[in-house]
Amino acid sequence: MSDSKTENNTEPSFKLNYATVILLLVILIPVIYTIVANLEKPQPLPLISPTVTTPAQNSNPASPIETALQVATVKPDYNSYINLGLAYYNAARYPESIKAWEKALEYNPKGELAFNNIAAAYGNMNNYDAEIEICQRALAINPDLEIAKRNMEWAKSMKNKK
Amino acid sequence: MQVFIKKLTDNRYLLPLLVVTICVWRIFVPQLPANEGLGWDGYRYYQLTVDGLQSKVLDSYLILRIFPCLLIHIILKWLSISFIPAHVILAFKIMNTIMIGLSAVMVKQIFEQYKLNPVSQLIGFTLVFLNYGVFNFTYYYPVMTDTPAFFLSIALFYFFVRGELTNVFLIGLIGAFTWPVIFAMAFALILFPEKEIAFVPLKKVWQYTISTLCLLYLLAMAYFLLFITKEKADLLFCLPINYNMLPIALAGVGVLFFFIPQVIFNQTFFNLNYYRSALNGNRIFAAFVLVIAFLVIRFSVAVNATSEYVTLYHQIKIHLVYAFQRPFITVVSHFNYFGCTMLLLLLFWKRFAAFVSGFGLGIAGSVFFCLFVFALKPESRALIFFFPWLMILMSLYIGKYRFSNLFYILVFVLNFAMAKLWLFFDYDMNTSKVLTDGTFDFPNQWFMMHLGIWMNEYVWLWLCTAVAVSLLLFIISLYKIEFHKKAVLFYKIFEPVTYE
Repeated sequence: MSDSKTENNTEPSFKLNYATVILLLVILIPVIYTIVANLEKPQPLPLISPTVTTPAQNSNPASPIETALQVATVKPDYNSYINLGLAYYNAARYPESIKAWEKALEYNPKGELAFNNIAAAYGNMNNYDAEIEICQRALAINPDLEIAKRNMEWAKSMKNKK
Repeated sequence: MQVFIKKLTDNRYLLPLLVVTICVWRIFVPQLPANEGLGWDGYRYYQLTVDGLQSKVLDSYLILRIFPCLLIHIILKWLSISFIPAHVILAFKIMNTIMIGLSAVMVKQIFEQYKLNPVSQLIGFTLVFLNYGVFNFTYYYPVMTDTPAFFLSIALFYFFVRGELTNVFLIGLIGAFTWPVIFAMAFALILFPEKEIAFVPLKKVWQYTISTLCLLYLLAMAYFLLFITKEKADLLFCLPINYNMLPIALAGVGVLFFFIPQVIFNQTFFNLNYYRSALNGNRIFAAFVLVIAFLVIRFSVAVNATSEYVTLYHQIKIHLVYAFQRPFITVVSHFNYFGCTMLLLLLFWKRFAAFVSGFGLGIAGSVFFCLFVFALKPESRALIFFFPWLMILMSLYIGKYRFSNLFYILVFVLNFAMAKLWLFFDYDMNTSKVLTDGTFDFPNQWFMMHLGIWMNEYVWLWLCTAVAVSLLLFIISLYKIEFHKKAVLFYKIFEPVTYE
């Protein structure tokens, strides 16, 4: 390493250059975003399982409920109603989302994710007792369902805070 | 051929462009079907991406891995793109591609700075990029923090060799919330940024003492973990420890532990004058500020739970217990994941360690620490934050010499084979054929075998054979063998490349 194989102008120093500016921006953007987001104080949302995405949903994100309704009408099955419930849920229409997921359960009575999602919706309506009870039903079907475990823990902690 | 390689490497952007082209192709390969392409760990990162710092899954460990997820979260929010899995997966794939592209540009500049010749540059690019970890895993299982860690690792080395300590500081801060060990590596590089120090071999008695201490630590920990606390390789579907083979496995790991400290066997590191000249007030202050900045950011964010991952015992356990699953499983797994860099480390270790120690205590100390604590775990992807350093350093090391054509061809062919760009996985969530020992059978094993601890016994045997054959071929390529004459190693035949 003692031969002259490196360039001479690489002595260590705290110099600034364009890379420093880019790195500072990369750090500052999340920091500023976090501060602004904290000022708005958003409520943490309960976990909800990711669902099967249809091409129609991708191409028309402006009206996800209509799209999901159309899909559920044309192809009524477990996944379609899971998606419909999710669309309602994302629009904060929790009672309708619960109905959609209950409909999904008609197609798959052991759909643990539907139970979990119903529980999450109840949690968003501050009905933590219902959330805990329905999470237990999801866990009775699949004891390893982490998402339901965490939702149940969250509901219990929120219930204690009340 | 020589002219073609020269043209390829003469242009500053041609090799990086080739890397990016392959990455763009890989964007369109199918991905792991589990959880709609999110995978298992990836599902947690998806949740972090969706909810950011408000996420309910945020615990004391995931807060240290959140930075890439937070970036994607902010970008998708700004662009008003919904957080459905398909969008998040594509966003991660694009981010990964940009990061690999930038890494390629930095690697090229490092090679230029060290004046590697065209063939050595091409071999260097082969070692760093043409492997399963970069070109395959990144795109088959995209929602992870592996590629950001790969990028930060290379960026850290790049800014170190350019002497840009402010940027080392900033990379350390980003690394603290992407892959926390990068923070410790940046800390060491700020304190010890000298990169051209003299190599003076440590006295033999000290060498044996330090190596023996490392070996004793391993034996004590192995005994404690396996026979006192009775830890097992107990992750679902992973290869259980075969206690009949444990003595061989222990011997294999013991040999590695005995030789690991060679990277700090430089008398200079044991001389107080080195510390007097290396340390200065500005750099100590910068290192102190780095720690304070990390602590301020870390404790300004509330987490929902304390993870066992951040405990010392858990870290020691998971990085040691799985090394005993089968003899040499760490070596074969790293070969399978990172290509022949692992074999070159075995072949050249003594001289390579001396070469690395010439980069100063910042680099040598970090390499020693990472090898000692983390490198034994067969889940090779967990070394993505550090292996790029070994790949680049190995490229610089072998770039000092001129080898036989067979050697260069072997490096390329083996890395191409291990990258498995030709292998399109067909992971089936519905047909998990499980063997009697609890590991996955094929076809799902085609994917699981790359996660090291989940490889099954047949794969381990085949990979052991592949490692043995490859090592033999390398040795043949390195020796000039003539009948009735003693074989001699390459560096006694070839003169080091001169840089004038």
